Amino acid sequence: MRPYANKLRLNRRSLLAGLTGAAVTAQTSAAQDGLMPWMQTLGDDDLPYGLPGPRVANVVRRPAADSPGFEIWHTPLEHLRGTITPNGLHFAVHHNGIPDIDPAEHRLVLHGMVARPLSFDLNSLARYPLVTRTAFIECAGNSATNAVSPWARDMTLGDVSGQISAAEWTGIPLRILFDEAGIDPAATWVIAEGADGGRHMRSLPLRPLVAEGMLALYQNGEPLRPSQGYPMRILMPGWEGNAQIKWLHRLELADRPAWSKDESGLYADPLANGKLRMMSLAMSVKSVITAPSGQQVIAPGPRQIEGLAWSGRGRIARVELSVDGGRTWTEARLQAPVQPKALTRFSLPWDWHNERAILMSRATDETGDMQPTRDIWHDIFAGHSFNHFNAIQAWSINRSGEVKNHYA
Amino acid sequence: MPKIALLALIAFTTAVFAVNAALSQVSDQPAITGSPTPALGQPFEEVDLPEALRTIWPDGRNLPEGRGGVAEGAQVYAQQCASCHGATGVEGPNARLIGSDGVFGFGDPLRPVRINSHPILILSAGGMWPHATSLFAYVRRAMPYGAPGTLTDNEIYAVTAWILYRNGVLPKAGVLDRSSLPQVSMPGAARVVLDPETAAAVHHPNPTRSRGTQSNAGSAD
Repeated sequence: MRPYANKLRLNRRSLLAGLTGAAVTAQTSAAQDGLMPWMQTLGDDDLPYGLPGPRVANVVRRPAADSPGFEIWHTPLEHLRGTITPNGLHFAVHHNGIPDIDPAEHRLVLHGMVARPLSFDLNSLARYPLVTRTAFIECAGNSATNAVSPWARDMTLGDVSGQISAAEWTGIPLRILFDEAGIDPAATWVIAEGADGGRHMRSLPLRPLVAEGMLALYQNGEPLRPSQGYPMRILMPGWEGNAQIKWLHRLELADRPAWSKDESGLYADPLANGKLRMMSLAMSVKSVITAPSGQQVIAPGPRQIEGLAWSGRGRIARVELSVDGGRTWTEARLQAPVQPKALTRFSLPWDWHNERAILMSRATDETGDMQPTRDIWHDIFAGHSFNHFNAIQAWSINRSGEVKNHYA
Repeated sequence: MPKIALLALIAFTTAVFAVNAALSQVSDQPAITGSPTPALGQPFEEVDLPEALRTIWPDGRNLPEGRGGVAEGAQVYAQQCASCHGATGVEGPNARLIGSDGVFGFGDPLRPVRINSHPILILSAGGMWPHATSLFAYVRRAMPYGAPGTLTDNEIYAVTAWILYRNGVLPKAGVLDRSSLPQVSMPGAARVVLDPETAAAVHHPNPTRSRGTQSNAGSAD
């Protein structure tokens, strides 16, 4: 790559030198005024795989503030616009690291309660008809800090709630593979397992996977990143991320769940009544204001309040905004297209003049489900429960324009 | 006039079909199958799945031979597990193995601080997991962290016994094997409620109805 780039640069330089020489002979006066430095020099070489520039070096994922003993990386929501997360910024939770999988050796085995157990390699799967859809993935534990911390910790939006991302996923509808193997009519569950060093495993209801599940091979047009399950993962729009098994190598149809470690403990929901709700998969309706958001400082004058809303049960129907801590609400504008189980961006113009304010967003999805307040969420979930936290997020703004995480 | 147009349309359509039929008989015509799947899965025998990759079920199916007790388990734990889970299974820094799910205790004055710094520690196998087989299955799949697959089945039975003993679920003389492990009664089981949406999704309104057993039908419902 370098020799070619140098040669190219040399050629361009000699060409430019020729042009400049001609200009100098035609006009011998002083140098041109009004040119920025980067207008007066040859630019840099490009790269085989493009990277964000040094001027936006702050737009990166950050590790979770509280390490639970495995890797958690948060999407910097406050730095992004639109409704698609760049692949390098997609949130990630790895319980046993990222495996280095040889695609030539990797197999997906489909077995259990099927008429014909089957094994697939990547080359064969690439010959199937692929479909594409946009979907968010959210970790069940997203915003856990606001669920369990007794006080609102001073954090950025990405640090509080950055375990949500969205992408355009391309792959094979799972029903095509299930039908090829022939589903036993008595099968109701799928045991899905990854090929990582821990073989992450979940028991998943079969019927929703037949209806909407995908064996995802591509993310935003390129092969899955290792961090997102290369060479293949389950995509099941609307479900918690932990169930969308990365590095998938085994699907076993069954008539009962296996009760794996995560469905038995870490991803179960202790309820306020002492019960343990298990196998909860759909991520409920939720929204966050991305601007202004935690640890930003705003200037007086007109601006947009902007944010993201999503629901694991369908489309966003409505987002309402409050600047007075929930006393009054105004409906925000939703940016089209509003897709089911994807991110929807909302905004509303606001004119701020150094008054104290408490900003809140409250989303409602097409099933009529509306975000609860934090207090109402805790009426249902135990005090130490931290999964599926979808309560309304509030940001307080003081007279100096400092924005802080807030419980309202 | 409309009748004539209709007849003309029928005649034209018939002619098109005839031409298409003739073309389809040409031997070098590419085959457009219209099938929803190229059906490229390779036949696979269930018995060819390595034992280590088989699901271990709560009823004990696929549990391997071998046995282990609390005393051996204490040694395995000290050597293989204590560096991450703490000397007695409660100190961390990684997941707490002993205790209830609200482990820090509501009387603990530092409870909020402890939860804040170690939120994961509030969950434990002893307090929540409804099936003892899950503990064996997980240790066998994923532990020790960084070197999964290196423990023998005897060691896994033993360390499972130690964790269950420390949780008050198994007596100190307890020994586990493929027949005794599924019999262990876990405290969490009585508190489990299946998520209503998931329960509805796995409910069979008509268990005798066939669901997509015809190959390549493109329909599973």
